[in-house]
Amino acid sequence: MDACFAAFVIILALTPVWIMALQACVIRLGIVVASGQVIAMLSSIGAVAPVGSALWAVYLATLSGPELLGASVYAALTYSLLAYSYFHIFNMGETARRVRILSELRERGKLSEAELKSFYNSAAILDRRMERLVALGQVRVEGGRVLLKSRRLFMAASLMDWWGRVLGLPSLKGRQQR
Amino acid sequence: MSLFTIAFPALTFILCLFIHAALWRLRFPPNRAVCLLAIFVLFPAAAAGAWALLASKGLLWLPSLDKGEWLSAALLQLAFASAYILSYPAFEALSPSLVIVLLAGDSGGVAMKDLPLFFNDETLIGPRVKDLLASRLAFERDGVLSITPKGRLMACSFALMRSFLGLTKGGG
Repeated sequence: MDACFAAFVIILALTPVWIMALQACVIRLGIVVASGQVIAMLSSIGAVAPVGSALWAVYLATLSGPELLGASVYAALTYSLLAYSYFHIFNMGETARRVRILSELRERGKLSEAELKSFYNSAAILDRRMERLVALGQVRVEGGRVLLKSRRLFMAASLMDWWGRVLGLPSLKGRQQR
Repeated sequence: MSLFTIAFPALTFILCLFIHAALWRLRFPPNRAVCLLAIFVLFPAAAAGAWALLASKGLLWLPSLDKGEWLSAALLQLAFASAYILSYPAFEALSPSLVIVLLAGDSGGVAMKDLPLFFNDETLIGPRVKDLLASRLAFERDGVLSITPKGRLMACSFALMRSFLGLTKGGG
């Protein structure tokens, strides 16, 4: 394995680190004022240029023809999957109920279930979700009804619902009855 | 870089998805995280190792790849695995955001006042507390929840990540 190829693989493997570094700069410098999730997505897109340039400089520039095409497809696929994985890890810290409960336990030491529910309950969870969905432009509230504004998350939710049923899990909309 | 570097991880991932779906339908495993790691990470690693071993003894044909190409195939396989394993909780847990979007997608959407009917403390918080107890991130004594060292490590990792990003406490 030559050094150029090794550098190519290492740069790609560190994709989440590059995206996180860019996201930290964007947030700390106040370049974009938006929700954490939007900034994470923008950072994933924004990191394409520097990471792509670095990949080109260390390895892709030495290739041509089908080799260049194959390596470019490989790089694009790996980058997309790792960026998607990073987004999920960031999103866990942003929205996961388990992470929120763990954070509270870490800060407060001990919690009874009643104490937990006194400051963290379904109404609070629902309010935060509605705020985020409206801010992300996925839904709109009109005449007291929640309506779809964009089909992007709806398509993803429908796909997840379908795959969940392939796995033998109940449908997402019926899940609250479990 | 040969086509094999992309095709092998992609085909292995599809095979892993079939194994995963079949296992889940046959018997829903109690520890899904470990099971998913075994299917999507350990199984491909073991299969690649077995393949290489059989090929070295001339019992199996193996494409002529150098170490670098094997390494890049492994990276792509890990990328597929991490993307799927990190998505998995959304298939299993009741995700309020996904349910709201699905309900909003129904003809005429959903009334704001009806949303609380779909979510309550029992369905939103109870299962997550049970998950924390089952995965030994927290423990319960006399009805009081406490954090375990493993849970503290996880909470600290997220806190550190958010602090690096310049964000305040997150979650839920």
